[in-house]
Amino acid sequence: MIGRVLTAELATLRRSPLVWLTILLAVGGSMLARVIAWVAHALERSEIGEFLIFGGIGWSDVALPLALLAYLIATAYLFGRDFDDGSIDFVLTSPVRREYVALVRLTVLTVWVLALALMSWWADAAMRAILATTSFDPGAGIAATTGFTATLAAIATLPLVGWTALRFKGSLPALGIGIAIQGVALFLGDLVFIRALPWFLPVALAAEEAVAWPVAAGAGLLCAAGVLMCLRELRQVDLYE
Amino acid sequence: MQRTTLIEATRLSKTKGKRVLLDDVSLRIDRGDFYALAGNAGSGKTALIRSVVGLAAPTTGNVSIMGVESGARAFRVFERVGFLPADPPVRRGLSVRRDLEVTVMLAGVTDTKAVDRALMLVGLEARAEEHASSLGDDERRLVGIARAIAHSPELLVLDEPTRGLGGVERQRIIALLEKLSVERQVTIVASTRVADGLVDMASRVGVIRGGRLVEEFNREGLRERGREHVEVVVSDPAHAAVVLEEHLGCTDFAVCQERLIRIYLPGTRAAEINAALVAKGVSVTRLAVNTGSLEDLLERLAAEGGADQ
Repeated sequence: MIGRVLTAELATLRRSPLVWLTILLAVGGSMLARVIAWVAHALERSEIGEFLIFGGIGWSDVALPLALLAYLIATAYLFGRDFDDGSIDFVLTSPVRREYVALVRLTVLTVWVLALALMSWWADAAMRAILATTSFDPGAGIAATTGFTATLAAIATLPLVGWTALRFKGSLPALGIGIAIQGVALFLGDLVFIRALPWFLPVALAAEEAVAWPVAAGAGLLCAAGVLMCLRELRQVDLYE
Repeated sequence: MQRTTLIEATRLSKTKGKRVLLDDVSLRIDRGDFYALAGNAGSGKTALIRSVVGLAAPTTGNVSIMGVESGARAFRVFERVGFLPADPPVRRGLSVRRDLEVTVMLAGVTDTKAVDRALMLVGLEARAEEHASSLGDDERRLVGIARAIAHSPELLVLDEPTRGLGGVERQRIIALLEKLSVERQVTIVASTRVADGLVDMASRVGVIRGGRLVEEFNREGLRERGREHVEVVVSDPAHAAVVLEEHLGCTDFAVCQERLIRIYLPGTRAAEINAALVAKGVSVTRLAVNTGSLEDLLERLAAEGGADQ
């Protein structure tokens, strides 16, 4: 039964332009970030560098928000698209367990996000080689670790975004709420209280070289809670509220 | 012979805020029935149908489909149940054929010809490769019907299957449903706003108004109520019955609730009936001629007391 849910899921995803949009954001964003960092570094070394507001911009300042946006779009689309076009009626009147639908989507989401993270890292490695930035960047190993921990943390929070799509019956509410909270976490990251928000986890983890166990445990709990909430929501969804 | 009950709703109610969508509805549909659920817009048809298939949770009461309580646990029954929502959606970015293939894939159908067969039955075979989202509302409904029948279900639950269809498509769908009902013994529950061909074919008809199932007929009962007749409200129904029998020689009448008598005589004799009753001391407080079309009957029943929603 899980096999046919997965096959049907992949059949609908294969034709979706949203898949290409997320690749564009993650890969294009990573490449663009490397170019911006390279330009910023070059300008800092020139006489006019001190007058430029974007001096000191690093790779993660650009690539991370765009990658998070791609992950949010993927999540909101996976869990909300059936509500957007009304095909949730068919999903819920199919001879498959609703829990399987949610679990398959969570699995597809994890694979999708990991694939985006890998593509993003490869694109960065390629740009790094082309631009010969090794003189100033932190090195491939550290960049990969940072990217990977941020991705894992993002995955931990994404089931909650999926739940938002199920609860509010559509991809736009999930995307809106996700972007708002991630945006707050990213732009107000210096404020101490923001670090207490679960949505700050991706940013907090990306900034840490060694992941503190309370943060990792928190991410795990958040992920488990999100998965359970998704399962519960899909079981009791009322499409005539 | 004992009949198998496929759908059973008991004292079903559903509210949405202060609005009552369903009010104490009890319904039973047996295998082989063709049940037409007639009602105006906002009468509760869709709420009832969605409760039956588990897409809406009743506030009180319960409903079972194929012997299983509707809802998340009844997923397996959909191997044998086809469903058409009131506004059939299509999946964006997929062709008509691919959209149906995804549906039969989920239903676990392995017959590769199932989709082609369903498309042919609804007359959409020529548009199979077009984008489903480019279709008009009427064609989407045909896709929805194809989706509902593609896995050869035993029970079809259809929310307004003929709404918005043109004459040719409507006749095609009505003929298709008749064929499924008669030849393949598929049990059908279909809602409709008007007394179209669906009602003519139905073995049972339920009229829903303001969330309540106000009348149910079998085929004969419907024909009887649908015949041309004169309705009179009189002061003394028993005396009126004697007058009708002895002075007008009429035995084909029915004494109903609240001093209403339905007299199955042509409308042209209304004046004669009135005169005879009044002459024998029976006061007539209301007299109306019912021309007897099913459409009139159902529209009147569906609208009596006004729509509550």
